[in-house]
Amino acid sequence: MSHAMPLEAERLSNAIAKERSIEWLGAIALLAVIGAQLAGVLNSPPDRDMGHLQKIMYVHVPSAWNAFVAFFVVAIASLLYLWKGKEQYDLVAASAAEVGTLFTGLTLVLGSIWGRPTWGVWWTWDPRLTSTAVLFLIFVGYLALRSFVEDADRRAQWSAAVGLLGALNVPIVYMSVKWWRTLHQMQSNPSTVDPEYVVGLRTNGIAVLLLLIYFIVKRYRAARMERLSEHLAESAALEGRRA
Amino acid sequence: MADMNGFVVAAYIVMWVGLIGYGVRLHRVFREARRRLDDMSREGRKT
Repeated sequence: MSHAMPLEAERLSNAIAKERSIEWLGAIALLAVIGAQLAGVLNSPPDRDMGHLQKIMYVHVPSAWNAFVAFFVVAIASLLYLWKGKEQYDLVAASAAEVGTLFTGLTLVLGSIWGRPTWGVWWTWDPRLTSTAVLFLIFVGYLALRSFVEDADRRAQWSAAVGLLGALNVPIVYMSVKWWRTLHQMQSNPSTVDPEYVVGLRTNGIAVLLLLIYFIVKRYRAARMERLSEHLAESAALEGRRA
Repeated sequence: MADMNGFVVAAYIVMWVGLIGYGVRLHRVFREARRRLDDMSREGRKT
């Protein structure tokens, strides 16, 4: 069975085919992460209390920061979707949510690896750890929701609501070390981190940010093609029914 | 101290397994989406 390709879909398909590749950004981001990690590991002296364990900071903290950035994108895109109703905002939110979930998962595992030798336990129900785990679970739920709901409009509306609620948890995670008694150290910023480690931390944060941008843009492009294929399949099915 | 270094190495391995694993998955998802769209476009242009 063949079907006529709707003009708008054909226009979009042609535009996507002509889009410039962003693999250069992926390559730059990859080199930046390798360089920043090498510089951090080789140049920073061992911490007085933690020794070389301090070097875990260069992977744990950038993962957490960039998960927050991803969920900020989810919040903005979800709001824009609810306001304007444009599909592209839903796809941006979904792409950022997937990448944010990856970095939150990494944050939890890396924090656990740091916690075992430092606190003597892999996990404790500390406010920072618990609120981060809740954040992770909300976005795992968000991704599950997207795979269960077939109707595209309903999926986008429900996802936007869950995405906004999930992103509201980010300030709670960030402030948890101030609001409650916690084992976790204060937020990592120049006033709480030794000056010897600030540059390494920022460099790693920016390098991982480049990778985050690459991941989100590439995921968005893939999601847009998936949606376009869905639209085409729907119009083909409609035509088949009419014929 | 050697034990401590093991935790540091483990953390960096986890980070890279996560990043490379996701990167590979993303590459496959992208390629599959591209292939499916190309197939559907070709089919659509037949009419």
